[in-house]
Amino acid sequence: MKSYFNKKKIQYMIKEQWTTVLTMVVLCVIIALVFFSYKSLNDAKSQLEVLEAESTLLKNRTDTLKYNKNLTQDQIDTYNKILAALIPESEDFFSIIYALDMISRQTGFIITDYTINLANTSKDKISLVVEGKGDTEAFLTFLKNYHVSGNRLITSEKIDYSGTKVTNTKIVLNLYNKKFAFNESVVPQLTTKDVATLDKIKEKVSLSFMDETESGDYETRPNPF
Amino acid sequence: MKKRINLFSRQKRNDFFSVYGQRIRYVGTIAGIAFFLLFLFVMFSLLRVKQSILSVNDKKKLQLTYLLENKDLEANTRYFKGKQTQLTKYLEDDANFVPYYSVLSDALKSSSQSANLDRITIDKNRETTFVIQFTQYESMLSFLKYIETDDFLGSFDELSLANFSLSKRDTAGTVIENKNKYQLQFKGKFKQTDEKLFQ
Repeated sequence: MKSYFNKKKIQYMIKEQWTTVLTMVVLCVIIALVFFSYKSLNDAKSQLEVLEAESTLLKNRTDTLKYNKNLTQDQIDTYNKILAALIPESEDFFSIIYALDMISRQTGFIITDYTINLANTSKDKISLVVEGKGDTEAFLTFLKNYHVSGNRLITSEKIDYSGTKVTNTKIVLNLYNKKFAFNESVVPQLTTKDVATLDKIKEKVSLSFMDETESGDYETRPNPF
Repeated sequence: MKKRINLFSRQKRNDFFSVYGQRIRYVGTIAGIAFFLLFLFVMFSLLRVKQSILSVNDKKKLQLTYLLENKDLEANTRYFKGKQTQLTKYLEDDANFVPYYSVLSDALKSSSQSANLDRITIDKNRETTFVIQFTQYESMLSFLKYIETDDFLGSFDELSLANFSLSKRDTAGTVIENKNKYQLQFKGKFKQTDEKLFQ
């Protein structure tokens, strides 16, 4: 069987038509170069897009941090202590008892009894039916101050106030606890409104903001006798 | 009849290149130049993109260094905002009783001397029911006139008179002659007050 591209024909092509063959080979090489360089350009563009997206995210984080730097580390620490006390990471029943006792002492509305309202209690919220005694003024002072005065966040979804019969009043109070979950992508920007809110709360709470490591500053003796 | 032998039959196979060779070279050269220019353009763009990658990488390094130096501040800020969001969300569950109560008690003071707020209920959606008592018929009438004014109605999204009653008994339940107790019960919804909790 005869091959179409036999030796004589190839020889003829190289000898007589070498310029045509060269033109075609060079053209093919240039097309291949264009193809591969275009592919590289596309890859580089995609890489640049990813990098720019990452950089924008980082820029937002750094810009927000620079903006937030008008608050000192101490201020944020203080605010975080207040927030951690108001909404603890897990429920602490002693702090509930302490909160109710503190509000009672501060307002003059004497809390005589409280029971857990199981129907409205959930993982993050404890609902209490609180019973208390006091005159109209004491009850109104209680209603003005119960939210954070006990160093716990307390809300009441519905308040039934009787102007004439406040000697023995029942009120449903909610206390909250919730774990804080980190969100990796976004750094929140603190606004003056955020800070103002916390400043107002700070005026009402009575937490000690002293550094705990400083409290043990006394002379120790190796021999107790 | 003469017989002829074609001695050039083999040469005819290469006719394609003989005929089109010139045209192929011409078109090939033009296309080659065009593709080469395109190649140069692509390479130039590639170079620019590579330079941008280097510059973005440098910027990223600086940003990461800054973030690493301030990682405590960042963690504290995240915690602060996270907890504050929780606080704001939970405060929405509160009836915020006092500002709404003040609106009503101030209105009562300015409308009638003998009006007495007997009972008020406010929930977190600002829905309310309240009962107002009067010992004098005239006081009740003047209050009814007052509640139709924009001053009073401006504090409510909706308000309706749910019940009216007349009683001759005092708070202990004893019947007292010539002393009537007029009682109006209202139902409605307060307008959102600007006085939000801690804001």
